Amino acid sequence: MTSWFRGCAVLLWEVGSDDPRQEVFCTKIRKNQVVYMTEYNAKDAEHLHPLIHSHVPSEPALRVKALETLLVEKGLLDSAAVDAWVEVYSDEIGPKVGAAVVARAWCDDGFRERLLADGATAIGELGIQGWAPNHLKVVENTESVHNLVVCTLCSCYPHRLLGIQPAWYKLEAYRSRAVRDPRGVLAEFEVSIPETVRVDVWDSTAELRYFVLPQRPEGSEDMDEQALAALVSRNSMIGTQRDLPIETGGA
Amino acid sequence: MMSELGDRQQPAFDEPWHAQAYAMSQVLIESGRITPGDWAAALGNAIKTRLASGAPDTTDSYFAAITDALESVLAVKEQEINHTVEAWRDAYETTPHGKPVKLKTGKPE
Repeated sequence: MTSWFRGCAVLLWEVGSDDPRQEVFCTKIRKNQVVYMTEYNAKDAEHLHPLIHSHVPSEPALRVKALETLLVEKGLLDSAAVDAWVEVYSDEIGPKVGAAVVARAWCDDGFRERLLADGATAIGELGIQGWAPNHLKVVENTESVHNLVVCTLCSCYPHRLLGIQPAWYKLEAYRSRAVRDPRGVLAEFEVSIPETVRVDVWDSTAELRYFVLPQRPEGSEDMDEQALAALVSRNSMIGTQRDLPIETGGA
Repeated sequence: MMSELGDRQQPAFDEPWHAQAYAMSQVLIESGRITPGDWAAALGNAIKTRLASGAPDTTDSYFAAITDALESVLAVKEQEINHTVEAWRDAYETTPHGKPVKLKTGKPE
């Protein structure tokens, strides 16, 4: 962007000179009916510049744009579906769906048992559809076990329950170390797991996603399902948080 | 890596193109154009290749790897991509600021 701006400013100035590039540039300018400078003037350049062209996206952004154009042309992709996906997953889903699942499990033992037995089928009871049976494994934190979820290969994640992965979930720093040194990784999240508690690490795959059922916090006995859901943070359902405070909202 | 942890207000994506790339991959999987297994393998490989060639361990590298993986799994030719990138660049460079940017074929953005 910076170099292009400089290039434009120089060319704006050079219009009218014998620079061989002027023909091309004059055409662009004339097409957009821009009055160009006869001599270089920084203030005019700043004013004229946006009249000549739009902000050019970064290289990777252009590449994604080009890829989408090609896939649409080839009939592999529907642009509207891509836009709809972005809209839904950026704003609507988030970890709220997962938090509702956790709150229900805390309030309803029967649901909790069905959830642990076959997660994909059980979440259907809450209207969460589209999951093949046995493709979702819910793992429960207890006094003696803490669960941590990772995808060491890429970044597989239960989107329908938790929205979009947090940035750190996609990084090599988390993916490679969560298996090797889970307690060390948890310490970086300021989570200290007593030696008496076993840490189980679950490596997600394309076919099987994991979801942590955190422990219900002490002192939440009188809270209703909706209030409980507000306590459940995204990280607690990945396992990078263990204890949920009851004062502050989660998610 | 963990500096973002405390921040629950963190947006889902840092850049619009991150969201666009990721959404494309998910839509292609959901519509059955790419199998989940093929996708995991292609993405895992693309991430490994990027990091091995010295790319920093950042979300920019991750989403660039998503683009690599899409191109490889759908066998998109580099020449086609480069050609379309240049067409888009030209469209941006010749469209005045504020006007809708369209490819020369007349397709809306």
